[in-house]
Amino acid sequence: MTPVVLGPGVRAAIEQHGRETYPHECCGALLGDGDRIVATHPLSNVTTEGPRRRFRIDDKDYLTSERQASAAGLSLLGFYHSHPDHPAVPSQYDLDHAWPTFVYPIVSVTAGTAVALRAWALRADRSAFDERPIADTSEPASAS
Amino acid sequence: MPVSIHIPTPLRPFTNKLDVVQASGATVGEVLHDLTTQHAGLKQHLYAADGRLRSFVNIYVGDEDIRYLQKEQTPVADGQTVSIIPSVAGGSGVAAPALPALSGDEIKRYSRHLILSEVGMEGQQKLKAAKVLCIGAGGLGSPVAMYLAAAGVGTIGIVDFDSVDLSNLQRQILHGTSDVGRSKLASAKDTLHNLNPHVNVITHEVALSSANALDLFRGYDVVVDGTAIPLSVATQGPCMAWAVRF
Repeated sequence: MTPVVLGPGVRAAIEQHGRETYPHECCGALLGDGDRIVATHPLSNVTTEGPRRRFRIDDKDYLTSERQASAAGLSLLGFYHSHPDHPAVPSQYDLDHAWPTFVYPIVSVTAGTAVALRAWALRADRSAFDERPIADTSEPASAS
Repeated sequence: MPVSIHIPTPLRPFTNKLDVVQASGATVGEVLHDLTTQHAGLKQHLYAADGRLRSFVNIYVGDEDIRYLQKEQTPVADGQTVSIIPSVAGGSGVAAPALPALSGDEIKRYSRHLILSEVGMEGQQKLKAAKVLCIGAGGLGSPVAMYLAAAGVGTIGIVDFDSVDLSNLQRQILHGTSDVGRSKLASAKDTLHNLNPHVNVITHEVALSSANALDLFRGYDVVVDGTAIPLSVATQGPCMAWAVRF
């Protein structure tokens, strides 16, 4: 799978949103171009099934995200969400609700700390997710 | 009759990257059929194996969700816009518990709810799964508990420690003349069971305080403060701590 490239601040924004909403799931839109995500838009989790284990994005927020992407000359590339106290691995429920071509980064937030970020994409036949490697362009080089 | 169909980003690979496609039909169902005939790759993402629209595919005619119109039978007029809006949802692996089934008696009892699109079978099952705690079986708690019981809320808890006085009856409609002198909880339980025997009534004969509130609220989805002291300290803090609605 081709890597998904996170522009400056993208990883930090997703992790921060996950910490803010913990122990509930956060969610948000990802705008960018091709395989490169350049902007995150945090959205409200409007699930009625318990936000500790579920998220849902309002239809109006979805439309707004598409319009914002278009207005900025970008594409809507996907949506991130958090798994509080749960691995950054998609569930069957995630699979049932996934859309083609979108990238779905999941941040695992354990005891209020973001511990892992992994990105997933729906296989063409809808049978499973494939992991997409993440390439950060935002992180400063290690001091070591 | 050509209508414009807005295609969301994830489905554009199946429409030659077009964000607007023209299709014909007199109803939403016909228009979508024409669309998936023109662009066959869309079909598996819009329809489940049984031929029904996937539950997370939202279709709008103009600004209206067809779930609240006539679903796929919703008529479309020349020049109208149909939008396909992905319902974006997900969550971690632990599934929400299955909703309780309704018995034949319950289906008959709630039939007026079941024909309302805003409630329907799933909504009624959610009501049955819901657990609501009423603080007080007095002037406010009475109508709240009775309407919730009548509507089919499956579990109703009541917190009270008082007994019924003749002067209560002018407003506390859970209790009747023959209940004077009885505990309000016993009276309330009888009234609610008479109204709806399917409701599980749990009584808590205690005075609510900040010391016992957290234990009482645990396990309830919603707490209704019927004590006539709005947002009482004993209620508000533990609700926030336990993330229940009140």
